[in-house]
Amino acid sequence: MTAAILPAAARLTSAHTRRQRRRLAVVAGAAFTLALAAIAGLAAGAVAIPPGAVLAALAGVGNDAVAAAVVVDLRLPRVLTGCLVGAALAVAGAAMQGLFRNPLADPGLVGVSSGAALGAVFVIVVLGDAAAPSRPLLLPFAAFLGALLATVVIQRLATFDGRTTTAMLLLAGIAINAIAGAGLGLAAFFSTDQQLRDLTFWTLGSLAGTDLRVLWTAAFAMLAAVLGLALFGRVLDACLLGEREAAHLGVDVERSKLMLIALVALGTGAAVAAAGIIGFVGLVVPHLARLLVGADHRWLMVVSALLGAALLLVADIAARLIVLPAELPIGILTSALGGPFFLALLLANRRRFAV
Amino acid sequence: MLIAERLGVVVGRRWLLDGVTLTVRPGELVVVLGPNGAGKSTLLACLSGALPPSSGSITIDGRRLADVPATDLARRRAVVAQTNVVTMPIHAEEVVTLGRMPHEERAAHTRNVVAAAMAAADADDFIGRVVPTLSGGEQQRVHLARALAQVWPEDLSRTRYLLLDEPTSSLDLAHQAQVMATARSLAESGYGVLAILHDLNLAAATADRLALLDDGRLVADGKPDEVLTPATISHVFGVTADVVERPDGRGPLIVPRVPAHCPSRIGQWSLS
Repeated sequence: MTAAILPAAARLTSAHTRRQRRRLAVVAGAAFTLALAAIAGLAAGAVAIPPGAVLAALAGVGNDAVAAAVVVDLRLPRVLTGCLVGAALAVAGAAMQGLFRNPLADPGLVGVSSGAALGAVFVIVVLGDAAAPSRPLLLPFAAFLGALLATVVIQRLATFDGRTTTAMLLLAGIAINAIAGAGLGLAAFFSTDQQLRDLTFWTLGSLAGTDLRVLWTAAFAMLAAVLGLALFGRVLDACLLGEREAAHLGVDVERSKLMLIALVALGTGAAVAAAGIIGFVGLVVPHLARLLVGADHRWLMVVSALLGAALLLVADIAARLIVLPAELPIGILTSALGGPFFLALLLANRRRFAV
Repeated sequence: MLIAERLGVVVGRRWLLDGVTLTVRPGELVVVLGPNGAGKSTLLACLSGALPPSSGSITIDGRRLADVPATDLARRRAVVAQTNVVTMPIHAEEVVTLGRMPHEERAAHTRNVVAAAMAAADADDFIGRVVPTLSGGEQQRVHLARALAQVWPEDLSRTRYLLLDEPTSSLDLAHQAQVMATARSLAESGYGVLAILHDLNLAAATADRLALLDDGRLVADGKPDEVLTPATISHVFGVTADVVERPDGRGPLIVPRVPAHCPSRIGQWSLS
């Protein structure tokens, strides 16, 4: 037997080495893209600042006080928010797709984001000014609860006997989006002008209007969700074989599912609390990442986080520049890109999803 | 030893398993036979720990199955399910590597075990291939390799068990024989192996013991020539068969009788 094993081991090693090299190159490329996108995000806007001046302002050695103020005080928080929101949405998408073994499980499509937005809007419209002082904590928490409720409903409906069907997943998503849509519509009907403006922010998504105090809580939650989900890489790999098979490998599937659902809801809820509904990032980015590094979740999560952050920064730059001096809601842009991508994905997988 | 005693599984009012007592000893290949819906897969689900029985008990090496910690159990027994649908782009060797998940060990050791398991299951040609692009039979060999990797015999101090649900269902003739030969040699090296099969002749030629299930009950349990008699075959499968000696002398050979004239049922539903 040993003689037969040796060539297999050698081939395994060379295949492994080649793949690791490729994956490292992809991570380096994604990190480089993110760095470029971040510098561009700090440079671009109504007042264009050259990249050199951006770097000088960041390092604190520039002699242009206005540029430094714009870069560090105005744009840096926005760029950091964009990074975290993009990473959180992409990683939440990758985790959901692994958990449901379905590449269409995007937090936006299946209603997790709208559940979160409904939670946030509830705090703004129903609790109104009475809750204003505790809003920085209450708003992300309500968004998290909304997202959690939606995720639990989807999990209960779409997974039966350890298997998830695409049809049930998306149908459950339609129902949740409809309920959340009705709630958001009702809130819009009863809200004041100022509340209506806030509401548009939630439903269309934007990195512009984030309340800095809300941002702190949300940023912490998003960071926790991304790091937490990254720890589940191996478990998600096992789940690709099926829930029962994962259990045979010693994975505590029920406990892992609960943790994953909570973390997905935390990440999505916090992202929505910080920037409203930004659709399709959780669909497009993990798909691209899988094409680049395969379905190994430890790599998939890292690449999704980097590319998600980069994609959101690029979309935000476009949102700021397209209709100067005004600004487009970023969710419109991601949907304009993500919708056709979704159609292409359906077209490519017609046979597979038709069950 | 893996011992099931008076197992019962009830769903609604239907007993999928009823009073089944079965032992899988180390060094033994037990094949479970029975018609569709006899409860074979339910029995395997109980023995694997995936399905808690409604009544009866299961012990593995003297401990109640439910009391064995999941990781400990995963190091002792591996399962290959009937259907394995991997839809995400994961490589064959990555699937097999998942079999080593319960073990804490160095990466170099994992790679050696994975290579050996893939060679043993004749799946080493699929190194570097993405699983959803493999054929059903090829995927089955990858999953067998994964199960072999999970309970690879590095120290023989503890008994390991392999539970296979129709491991040959999608395989060509050569690979059917090869998978069963692998199961045999594992049993001979001390594993307790239980496999569900539909091919009576493949079962009779390879198994140490046959367990025959019918409608949730164990109707026969013994050596192939004791279990596969014309009477039991007729009773359980509803098929008249001759049982003769195999030309190679390894167990009985079952030859089902085909009626000389097979009345067509299609004519019954006349369109006129």
